Amino acid sequence: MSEILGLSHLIFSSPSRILQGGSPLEKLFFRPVFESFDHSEPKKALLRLKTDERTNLTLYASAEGDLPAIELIPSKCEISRPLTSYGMIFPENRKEIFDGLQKFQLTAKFAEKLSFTKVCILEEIPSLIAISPELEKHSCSMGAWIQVPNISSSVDFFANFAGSKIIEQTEDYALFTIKVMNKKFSTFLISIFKGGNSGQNFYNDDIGLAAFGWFAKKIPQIPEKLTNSYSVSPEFGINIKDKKFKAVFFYDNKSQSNEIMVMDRT
Amino acid sequence: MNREKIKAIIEEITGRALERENELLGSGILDSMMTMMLVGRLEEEFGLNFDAEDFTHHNFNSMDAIKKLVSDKMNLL
Repeated sequence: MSEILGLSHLIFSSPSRILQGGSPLEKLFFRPVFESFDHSEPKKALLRLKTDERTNLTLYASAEGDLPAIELIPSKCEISRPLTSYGMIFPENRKEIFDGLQKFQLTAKFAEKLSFTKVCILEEIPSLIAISPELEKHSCSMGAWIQVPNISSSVDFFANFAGSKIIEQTEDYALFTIKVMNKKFSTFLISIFKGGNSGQNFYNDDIGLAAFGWFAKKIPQIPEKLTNSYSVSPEFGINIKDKKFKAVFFYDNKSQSNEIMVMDRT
Repeated sequence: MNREKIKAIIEEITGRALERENELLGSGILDSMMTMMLVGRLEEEFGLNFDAEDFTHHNFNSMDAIKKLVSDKMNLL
């Protein structure tokens, strides 16, 4: 049984600390919470720029309790993750998010599997966003796609470690659903595609989708199967309003890292 | 008996008297973080072990549902 209970938030390294006024995401999230921590030691191996060691985060919680929270961490890094290597997907009934955005009128298909329409760019994060019929098919309120250089270690992480349910899997594609630890305990779709250069490193402060945030019952040990693929950061503390958490990062500096948080009841 | 204990734990977590026993999530009395704290306290108090599958909106949206979840778990011990 996985120690991880579910997904809690998506972490973006962003040129800006807040969503710009009029951002379509403002319709979906509460007013932000701002926190600042010195995580220089635990995040040392995850960052490209040492100047970004202090974590100044902005957390947007889902207004209707049916989405993961969005965390923005401002970064001065000039390296960006390729914009087509990750993105957020929404179901058809969330079309209003796309009002006022420049649409590329694209209908894309990843790995001959995942269809997207209304592909748009949210420049302030930055991220592509799109609508996918897969979300309604699997009763998901939101989803994300990511490109990974090593699909087997990512499948091991999501399915065997994080407790995600595999919907489909091929040699270069996998689709999972995972519970979100929000008020509605909604379902989130994660789609991974094989791609990118396995020799290329990406860090948490590179602009783009940096990490998935997870809630767990206790800080898990890294399973033997994943020790060759992932490293674990030293444990660190996080205070969000009056709640205290302990956390670690599982990271490979190749794809998105994973922040695993537990309630700190000490 | 369990009902009173559960109610006391919810009041301890939310920091206020529980004025209603249904729509706990829907009305905002509990949020996701409070639900996790509640599960931690229920595990301590009753010696239970909750799984990811137990975290559903239905299981935590009312006192009756929480009590039933706790009772079902205790019956499995």
